[in-house]
Formats: sequence, C-alpha cells, structure tokens
Amino acid sequence: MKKLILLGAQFRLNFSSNVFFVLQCTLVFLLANSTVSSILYGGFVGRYYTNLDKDRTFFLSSAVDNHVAFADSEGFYRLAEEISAISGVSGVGYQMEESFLAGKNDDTIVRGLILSGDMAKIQYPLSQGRWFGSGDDAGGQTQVILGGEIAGFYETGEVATLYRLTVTDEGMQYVPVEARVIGKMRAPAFALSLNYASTQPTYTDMFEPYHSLILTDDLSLICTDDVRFPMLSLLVFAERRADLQAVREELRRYGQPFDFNEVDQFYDAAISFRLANQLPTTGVMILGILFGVAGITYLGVYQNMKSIAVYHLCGMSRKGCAYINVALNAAMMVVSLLFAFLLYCVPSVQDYLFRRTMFGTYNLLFSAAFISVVIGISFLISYGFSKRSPVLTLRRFE
Amino acid sequence: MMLIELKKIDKIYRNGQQSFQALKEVDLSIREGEMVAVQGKSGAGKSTLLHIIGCVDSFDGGSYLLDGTDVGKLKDRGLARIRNQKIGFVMQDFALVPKLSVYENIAVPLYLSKSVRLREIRDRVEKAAEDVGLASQLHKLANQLSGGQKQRVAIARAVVNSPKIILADEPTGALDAATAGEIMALLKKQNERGTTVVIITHDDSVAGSSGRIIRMKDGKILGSQ
Ligand SMILES: Nc1ncnc2c1ncn2[C@@H]1O[C@H](COP(=O)(O)OP(=O)(O)OP(=O)(O)O)[C@@H](O)[C@H]1O
Ligand SMILES: [Mg+2]
Repeated sequence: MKKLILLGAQFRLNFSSNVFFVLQCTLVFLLANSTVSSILYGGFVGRYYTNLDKDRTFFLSSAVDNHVAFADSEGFYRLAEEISAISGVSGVGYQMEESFLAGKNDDTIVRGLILSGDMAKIQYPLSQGRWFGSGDDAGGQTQVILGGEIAGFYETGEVATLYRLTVTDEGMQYVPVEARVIGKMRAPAFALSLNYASTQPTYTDMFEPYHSLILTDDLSLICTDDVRFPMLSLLVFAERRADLQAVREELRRYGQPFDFNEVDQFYDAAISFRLANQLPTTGVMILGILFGVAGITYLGVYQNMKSIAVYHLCGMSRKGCAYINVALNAAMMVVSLLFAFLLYCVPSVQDYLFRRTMFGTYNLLFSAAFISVVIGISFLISYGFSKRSPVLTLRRFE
Repeated sequence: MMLIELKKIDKIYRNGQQSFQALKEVDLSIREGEMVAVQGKSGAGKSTLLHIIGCVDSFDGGSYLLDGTDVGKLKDRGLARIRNQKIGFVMQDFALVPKLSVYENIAVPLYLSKSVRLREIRDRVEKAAEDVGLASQLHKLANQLSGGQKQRVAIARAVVNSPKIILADEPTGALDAATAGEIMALLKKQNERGTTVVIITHDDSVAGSSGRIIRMKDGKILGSQ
C-alpha cells in the first residue's frame, strides 16, 4: 500500500508525459493487435465451425461444372442425389447466396445463405437461440438465423417478413418471405461461401420452399476476400464408419475431392505467404514503437532521477530506486492494455479496426510479449541508472 | 559508546582512468547527542565525509561502526534501512520533490519504512510539521514555498522517523541571515532532544554555536576543538 502511494506520487511527478505515454501505449496496443490479428485471423476460421469432422467432410470441386448443363436445375438435383447414394456418403450439402431486404424499414440489403438440409449440418457458433433442425420444425416454416446488425432488429422467436430479390419477366422484384427467427450468430461471424448465386440460371429456384436461411449484413460472414474454399463445390459428408479412401476414389469420378484438413493446409500456406509479406513492415513498425517506448522510458527515468535520489536519501535501496521506474512503466502498460480493451469494446472501433479480426489468444500472446519487452527495456535503462550512485545525482543538482 | 566511529577511512573517486582521493585515512568518533560542525575549504572532502557517514556513498578503505553496526559489511538493503531508520538528511538545496505536497515530502521516510503503519503516518507528519512551524502549509506544493520554508520541510522530513542522527550539508547556505538563524535554532532544538547533529558550514557563527568543530583540509581532518 505504501509502495502504491509512492508509485502514484511518481506518476503525478511527470503527469503529462505519463498520460501521453499511457495514450500512446493504448493506441499501440490497438494498432498492433489489429495488425497482428488481421494477419492471423485466418487461423481462427478453421477452428470456427462446431460439429465439424474435418476428415469426413469433403469439398467436391468441379463436379457441378462437369456434370450439370447450363440452366439445368433438375440436373443439379440429380447430381446431388447420385453422389448421396455413393456407399459411405451420408449427405451432400450446398447453399445458395441471395440478396434480401430486411431491417426496420425493410431498407437494408443483406446477404442470405439458403442452406440445403445437409448443409445445415455445419454449425456456426450462436449467441442466442438454436441451430436448424434442433427444435420443433413448425410445420416446414422457413427458419432464419441472423448475423450482424440486422440481428438487432428482430427478436428470437419472432416471425419476420423478408424480401427476396428475384428475376422475373418484368425485371427484378422483391418477393416477401415469412421466416421465423430461431437464433442469432455470434460476432464476428464466418460462414463458408460456395459461390452459388440464384442469379445464375442453373441455380434459380433451386430451393422451394426455403427452409434454412442465414441472413446477415456482417461483412466477415462470407469471407470473400480470402478465397478459402474451392468455389462451386458440393460438400460431401462421409459416414462415421466409411472407408474414406474408397469414398474419395468414388468422388474422383465426379470431380476433385478435398477434405477440410487439406483446405486448411492450403489456407495455412496462404497465411504464411501473407505473413511473409506483412511481417517486415509490421516488424519495422513495432520496432519503431519500441524505440519510442525506450526513449520515453529513458526520459522518464532521467526526469525522475532527482526525486529518486531523494527517495534514496530517505531510505530507498538502490535496487528499489531502479525498480520504481520499472514498476511505474509496468503499471502504465497494464492500464494502457485495459484502456485498449475498453476501446476494443466500442462498436465503432470494432468496425474500423477489427472488422476482419478476432481478439483471441494471438492478441493476448502478442500483448504479453510486448509488455515484457517494454518492461525489459525499462528494466535495462533503470538498472543502468541504479549502477550509478544516486549520490552523483544529488551532487549534480547541488 | 560511540555512535559514529570512523577508522582510517579512504575514499577514492574513479572516473575511467582518472582517480582522485577525496578522503585520506580519516579517523572520527562522535558520541550520541553531540552537535558537531565540519568546516573546511571548498573541495576539502566535507560532503564526501557526510555521505559516507550517511551511508549513501561507499568507502574504499578503513572501517565504519554506526551504533554498533559494521557499515562496511552491509549491502544495498541494509544501508537503505539504516538511512531510513537512523539518519535524517538536510541539504543545502533542500532535496525536496518539488511537485509533491509538503505533506507528501515529509511522509517519504515513513512510506519507505517497514515498521511504520499506514494509519500512523498522518499523525507523525502533522507532528513533525508542527515542530518546524509548518502545520498550516501541509497541502502546499514544495515548489510553492520560500527557501526558509523549504528547509523547514526538509528538517521535518529528516526528523519524522525519529532518527538518531541528523546530517546537514550547509543547511543555511542558501538562506539569508535571519532565516538561517531560525533554521539553526530548529537543528539545535533537535539536538537538545538528544539527536546527534553533524553540520557542514562555512558560517563561523553557526560553527561557534555547536559543541565541537572539525576542520578538514585536502581529505584529512586537521583536528577538532
Ligand atoms: N564524483 C566525483 N568524481 C571525482 N571527484 C569528485 C567526485 N565528487 C567529489 N569529487 C572531488 O572530491 C573532492 C571533495 O569533494 P567534496 O564535495 O567532498 O568537497 P566539499 O568539502 O564538500 O566542498 P564544498 O564546500 O565545495 O561543498 C573535491 O575535490 C571534488 O572535486
Ligand atoms: Mg560539499
């Protein structure tokens, strides 16, 4: 307690520069964490799906291209059924992407993913409600799970009227769709995109009636910036006891199968590449920041020399004199981290800095590393000072 | 028994290649309750001697017994404890922390003491401030005070932890004659209460009013009277 009082006094001595230090560190934490996590955020995506058996879930690419003729929706269904019938395959999933109007005044354009029955086997984390097929089915009524801001406009359990964009002979039209809101996705939401759009003739009206619908205006939901998944694939689920090698062989007759692990590997390679590109600039930035911190620490220690010499006279050990700076810096860093976290929770900060990021283990590790380095720096500087006797300081000020 | 007992103390300042011997085999004994003035030309080694007595600086030869403790054997922490418990410093430039309040400046030794409890601090600071006539100025910042007031704060801080020794390095050097007299009176008052006082001074009248005068020249003690 008494030490804390002295620490507080020490903070007040260089009040302005300490406040600037805290502000600077706060921004550094935000900035660096945003950079680090946006570099690494892909790593989270692979770990995002619950209920996913990565060995037994295949992307089957180019099967649709090779076997379904232009504008032949019937052919698409037939292909899906044929593949479902392969021994060892428990289901084939696909989904459509469409535009909807929703929101308070039905004026927000949001993207919708219409899931086939098997597609809904891949669950995304929810903040509220339940996933498709896990409650009563309400007699085939369309069920919708919401993500992003529009989730705020509806209550779970409510029946919402959405407007779906369709192409008719008279041009584009919005057709009302009634849907029961059964859950809301946890932010930031990621969903895989297979890039089937109902504006393409082959897939028009593929889903009648709509059953499972994900609706979101959260940009990260469908990660189009990183083409993570083989486009225009079907998802093939293998049975628990299936001979995976045999299933794979069978699938090869239609197209190219990748299991989820393989896709993750491609993605990891892409991330490594991105890391290699971004790390040097980020590294230089962080290094610059560290030099700044070193400079500020040095200045702080120098400014504190007189008061520390006084404490030394009054019975502070040399070690204590060195540590008080370290302790002060450490305390300020912790406060900065706290501020940074509070700022992180502000929605607009989230929007601009962390839209494509997740605040996770990596950030914590990075922050911990950053704090350690700063404390290390201030320790070295303070320690260098403590080797010189405070008497010299006293003499200098005499 | 002697409170302070220095035997053949050497002090050598080293700066890279250069070295300078500031104290040469200094012998000095001071009894408890004495008031001692140290005089000598500039550069004679007075401050150096005071710093060694005060356990803020190390020495290179000889031995130093303080209240029965062999100071030469103490490490960083032991020295710190002695400075905190047994010694109070009063410096020519006051050595206050300018942006802290009078109260906080006086309280510093108590914050650093292991044996003082937090709730004792207020009482002790107020009492020390009253002793030097600053009871009404506790909330002021140290840099808002006059020189004389600053030196009173320094004295209050020096005595707040009830030390055995007060070491004063030209405490009146920066003050006018009248204020200097007041400060000397305060130091004398402490001495009358039993505190040992060692005071470096150029002022003969100050020296004259102390019990013993030690004269130094070129790092040696010429003699005492
Ligand atoms: N850090 C140092 N390095 C080298 N020489 C030093 C150092 N500190 C003091 N000295 C030298 O030691 C000698 C004694 O210094 P000291 O400060 O003890 O003198 P003093 O008697 O207090 O003088 P004054 O009356 O001017 O305060 C001086 O010659 C000074 O130059
Ligand atoms: Mg001197």
